[in-house]
Parts: sequence; C-alpha cells; structure tokens
Amino acid sequence: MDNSAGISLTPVHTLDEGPCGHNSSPAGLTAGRLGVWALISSEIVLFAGLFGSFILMRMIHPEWAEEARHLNLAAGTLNSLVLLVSNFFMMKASTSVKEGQPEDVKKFLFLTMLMGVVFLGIKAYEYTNEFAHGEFPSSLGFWSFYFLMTGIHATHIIGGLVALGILWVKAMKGTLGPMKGRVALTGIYWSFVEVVWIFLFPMLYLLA
Amino acid sequence: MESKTSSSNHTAIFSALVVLALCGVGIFFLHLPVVLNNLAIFAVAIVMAGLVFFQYMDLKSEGKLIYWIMVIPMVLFAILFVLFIPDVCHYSIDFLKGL
Repeated sequence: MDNSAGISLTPVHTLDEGPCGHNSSPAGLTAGRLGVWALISSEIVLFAGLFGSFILMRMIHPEWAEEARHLNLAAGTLNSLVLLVSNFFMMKASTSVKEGQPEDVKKFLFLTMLMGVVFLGIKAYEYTNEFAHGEFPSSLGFWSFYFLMTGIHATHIIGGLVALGILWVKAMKGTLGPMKGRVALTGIYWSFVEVVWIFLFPMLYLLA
Repeated sequence: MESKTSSSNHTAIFSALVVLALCGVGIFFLHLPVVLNNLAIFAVAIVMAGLVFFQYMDLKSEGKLIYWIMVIPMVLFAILFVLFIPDVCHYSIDFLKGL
C-alpha cells in the first residue's frame, strides 16, 4: 500500500507484536510499549509535582501531622495490600498470556478488576467517614492535598479498570488473540498505579 | 520452564512487597524520632517501588531508550523541587531548627 511518493503506509510497528509487546525493531520497542512508557513519564511529572509540593508544604505546616491522625490507617493499610494482590493477579494474567492459557487469562484479569473495585470501595468508605467528620477539600490544606492526590489516583484506577474490562470482554469472547500484547502493556500501567500508591500511602498516613 | 521461573519470581516479589508494606506500617508504630521515622518509611517505599519497576514492569530488560524517556520527568521534577526550596526555607525556619 504505497502512496504516490513511494512511502509505505503499512505500519512497521504495531501495538501487538509478540505476547509481551516486544519486537525486533531497531529501537527494540513496539509503538505500544513506547507509548505506555511515554504516558508513564508524563504521569511521573504530574505525581512528582504533587508529591514534591505536598512534602514541602508539610514541612511548612508540621501541624498537618495532627490532621493525618484523623485518617483511617487500617483502611489505608488494607488498600495497600489489596492493590499489591491486584498487581500480582495482573502479573499472573501477563504470564498466562505468554503460556497460552486463555482460561487463566480470563480468571486473572477478572480478579485484577475485582481487587481494583475493592480498592475503590474501601476508598469510598474512607471518603464517606471523612465527610461525616466534617473533613472536606476546603477544610484545610492537608485535606485539599489528600482529596486531590487520592482522587487523581482513584481516577487512574478507574482508567485501568476500563482498559482491563475491555481486555476481559475480549478474552471472554475469545477475540483477545490479536490484542494479547496489550495485556502486558496494561500490566505496566497497572504496576505504575501501584507505585504511585506505594508513595502516596506513607506520605499521607505515616509521616510523623 | 521460563514461564514457571517467571511465575515463581512474581510470587517471591509479591511476598517481599507484602512484608515491606507491613514493615512500613510497623515502623510508624515504633514511634521513632520524626526524621528517622520519615526516612525509614521512605526508604521502604523506595525499595518497594524499585521492586515493582524493575521486576513487575520489567524495566531491567528494557532498552536504553526507556531510561532516556524517564530522565526527562526526573529532571523536570528536580527543577520544580529546587525552585520551591527558597520558599520552604523562608517559611519553615523554625521547623528546620527543630530538627
């Protein structure tokens, strides 16, 4: 499929070359893999900016430590474990793709989504309690940061759930084949969402 | 064979992450001095993030291009962070004296 200038319009790198998204292109990357890492690097700018601002503001306002004591540490710890389990299932789904086990892919994608939903459920429970105690984003700087950062993180979880949902539906219909490389790509994104929580949790709940 | 190794590796990493997550919470309950507590929990978080990045996200097997892509946000973050420092020093001088 060449145009008049003789330039091939056939894509050289697709999203789904190989079960892991790898190919033998000169850069050693598929378009999909490069895209996911570019997305992650832009996300790092977003979250690093927020984290940096929070840490610096926290140094200016040591009294925020008292506000942090109002957070539900048990719920936060439980959410950390839920996200770790979710990411573990995501890795199992990626491995199942490599091993060519469609039933396991379906199972682990579903379990990953389930854990993501549980995470959001626990977060919603926390928000409800905080609102009931009169803590709103407008209450104090700490709560502004808390709701902003956890809200953005939760939005990323929802985005990941949408991607996982699409993959799961494809897997259930048996049409995942051409898109199986995207399971690994979604796994990279999901792991990044976990990394964000790994820093978010101690910053909000555990800083003295 | 490779997949089984990969699977057992993921299980080992997962176990390590759970232990580290619980260690982070455990450190909080030790009621250490402020600086020590904060450094310790961030050290745990950095180790956990490293495990996820290099093992789960397979960064160790990525090409140099990915590392270059990651350098850009890190530099931007460093600039942003350094720009805030004069303000923080100005407003938190009492806090810093307390350290």
